[in-house]
Amino acid sequence: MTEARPGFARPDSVEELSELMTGAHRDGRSVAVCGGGTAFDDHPPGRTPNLLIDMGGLDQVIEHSPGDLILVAGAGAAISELNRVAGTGGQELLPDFPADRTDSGATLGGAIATRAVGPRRIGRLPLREVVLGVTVVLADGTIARAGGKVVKNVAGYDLAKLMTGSWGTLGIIADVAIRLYPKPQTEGFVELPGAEAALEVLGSQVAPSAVEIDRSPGGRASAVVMVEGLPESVESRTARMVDTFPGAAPGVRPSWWSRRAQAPVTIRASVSPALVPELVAQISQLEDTIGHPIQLRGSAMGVFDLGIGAADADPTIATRVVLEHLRSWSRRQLSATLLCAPAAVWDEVDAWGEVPGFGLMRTIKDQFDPDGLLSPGRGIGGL
Amino acid sequence: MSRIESVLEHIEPRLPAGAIVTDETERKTYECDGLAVHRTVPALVVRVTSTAEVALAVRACHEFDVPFVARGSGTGLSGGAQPHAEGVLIVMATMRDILDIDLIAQRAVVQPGVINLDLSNEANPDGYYFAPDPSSQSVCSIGGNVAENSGGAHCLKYGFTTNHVTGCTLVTAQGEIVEIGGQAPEYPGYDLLGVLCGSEGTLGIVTEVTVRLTRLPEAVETLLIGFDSTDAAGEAVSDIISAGIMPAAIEMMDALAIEAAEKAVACNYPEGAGAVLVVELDGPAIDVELERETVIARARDHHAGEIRVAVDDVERGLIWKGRKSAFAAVGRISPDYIVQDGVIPRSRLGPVLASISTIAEECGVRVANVFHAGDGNLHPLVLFDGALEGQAELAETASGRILDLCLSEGGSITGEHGVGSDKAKFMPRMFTNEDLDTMQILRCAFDPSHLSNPGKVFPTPRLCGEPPRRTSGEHPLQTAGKAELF
Repeated sequence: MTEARPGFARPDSVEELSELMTGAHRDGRSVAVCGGGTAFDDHPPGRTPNLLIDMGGLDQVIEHSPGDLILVAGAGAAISELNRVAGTGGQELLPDFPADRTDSGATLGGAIATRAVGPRRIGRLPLREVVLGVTVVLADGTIARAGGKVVKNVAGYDLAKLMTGSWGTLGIIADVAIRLYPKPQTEGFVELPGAEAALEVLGSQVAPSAVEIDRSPGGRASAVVMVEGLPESVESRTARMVDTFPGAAPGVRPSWWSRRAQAPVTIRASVSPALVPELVAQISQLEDTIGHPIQLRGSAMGVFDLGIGAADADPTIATRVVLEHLRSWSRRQLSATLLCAPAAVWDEVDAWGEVPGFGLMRTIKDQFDPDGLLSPGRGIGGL
Repeated sequence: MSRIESVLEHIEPRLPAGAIVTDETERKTYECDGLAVHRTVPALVVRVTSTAEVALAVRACHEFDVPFVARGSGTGLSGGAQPHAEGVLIVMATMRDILDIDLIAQRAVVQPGVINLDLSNEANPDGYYFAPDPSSQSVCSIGGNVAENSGGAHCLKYGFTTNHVTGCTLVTAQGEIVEIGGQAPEYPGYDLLGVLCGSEGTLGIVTEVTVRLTRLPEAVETLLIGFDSTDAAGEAVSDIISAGIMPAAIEMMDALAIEAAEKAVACNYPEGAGAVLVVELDGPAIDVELERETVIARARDHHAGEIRVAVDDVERGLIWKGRKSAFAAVGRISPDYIVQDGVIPRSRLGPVLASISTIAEECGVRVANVFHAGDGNLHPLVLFDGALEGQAELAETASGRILDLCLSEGGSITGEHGVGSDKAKFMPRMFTNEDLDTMQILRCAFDPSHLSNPGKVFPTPRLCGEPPRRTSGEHPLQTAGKAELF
């Protein structure tokens, strides 16, 4: 009973969401979720669902306790609004999240479902570690909770982590308890000449919050280090870097900071930090091989987005060459997957490669969603 | 032939001499882990040295439908490694090699039996360490840390074990060898490592772990601060946190815990203090210096007594010695004790401690309090004399009531010791049937036959394939007006 256009629903409570899901499950209707809509172009587009659920009605702040470093909110709440709420307590939310998506209305649930990453994953715990608890609605409408709302808790399986990065394919995140961080008083930036220097900073005593590498197509890679904290500390650490690392210069927050590369195709490459300089070198070679410009941007920790292609050319072959080259270059210390591409490219390339543990993921999907009703085609490898 | 004999017959010719323990006296040495009240002699013990041997043993268990339990150093405090009477105990302590340390990648690859502190000791000369540091770190294994998602005093700042694992080799409950993750920071798909960490051995056996190594901080400073009361100390902690400081650790001990530590290790804590805080700051030297001044000022706001700043590693060691030996130390002031592990929202510390003393009074037992004050993880030590009739039961009651108290504050029944066999019965107080059934869906994906460490974590697991119980209505905590949705 595939419909040309999906039905829409906008539940206002977890119970309403559960009723919708129970009904859809009974009728064998497929369901997809929409938060801020900022990740529609990421991952394969998937099949048109029978029902599209707008999470905008579940946007309440349920609890905010700065003294306990926690905020509990509906999944449909906008990150920008939650950041404002956290700011009232001198704290901040999701320090590691791309600014371009926040600016476009990304929601808490969407951020978690898509496991978005940003620069500051070095100085803070990554997103998956700050999600303390979730309420999820399963394919059959069951409301289940896991984790809790305290910063330390090991009771039961950590289903919050399972939901983080599941792209709506295992259940719908309805509300979330998240850990907050004190907002640093100041920030400072230092520019460095290349990827090797970036790695040296990672191994130094500078304690950076972020070390980002950016390489424009055809150009040289440069790195920008961010330090945060008390003004005296930021000043001292910035000065120390300028003194210690050849070619380092005081800088400002670059215009591209925390914003993803804009290109027809984006590949996500995650590598062991030790391989970062080599990866950057590989990109120059690949540009020559494919005859297309490649933009590289990401964290020296080893998570990069590679933007490929020009708007007027078909990027399919270039995409395939880059994916295959990176995968053959280093297997277990790297993963290269397609993040964002035109529909035609998804069909023509091996978007995921060999995913460690894929068999277990398949079984988990079959257990949680045996009828394949949740976000069909949006997960990795057809999950 | 019994099922266990079938397993034995299958694996014996394929394992080296001495790997299999059948002798009853020797098997009995494995009857419990760090929680000695739960004892079961395993039907068979296998000491393994490789992934292949683990897979061989597990495949045999799978084939003959025999439960198996993995055991690391056996230091767990929730009975997570308590053997199964009709099952095989797989001893991982014999897999004790550090396979690789790559400092540029900030990674190490280790076998699960490697002792937590040994890895840090190995990496220290090069300026790195393994950040998770449970109090048992000189004896506990990294495989055990993964199973329990161990924390430790420094996890508020550095995160739990799960934040320090990037890859592993898993032997599934069917005996298949699966590689998960690797050296890169992220891999596509579901977060299998995230669910394996803290699954208490119920989703298979991890036989190799890739962990992150953390840069040793440039400066570390440890402060010991005496207060009149736990209330004053608790308020100082609140002020330190709201000043925007993220200390590497903030630990609190009350008067009774101080007395015990003093008797056991002569740590020379401030005399007559109603509570002490151990505050550790680490990071760039300039930050540590600035933060120290703030911590001291905030402590003085709450009428701190003696404030001692450790000037060197020896003094730091002595301060930590008092804290880290606290559990064992209460043995000096009480013949028996129960170590409890509960979590509350940190800001509720004052009222909760008051309620704990009421509970203690009503049950006629003494309670010493040691806890991670930064994150609200309480370790009440319920003291009793097992030789006196009824005392053990009273202590058990007090201990259970403390957990209920934690739940009524919106907290958790365990912050770091795990559920194991000890707290499975408390899980329905924290979670609904739907919540627990949902966790079972995950279990069924990994271990449909329920052979991997059965009887732990969950009180009454439903069979895989059985339709879930569907009930509706409010969460038990909501009904009681104790918690919002979370």
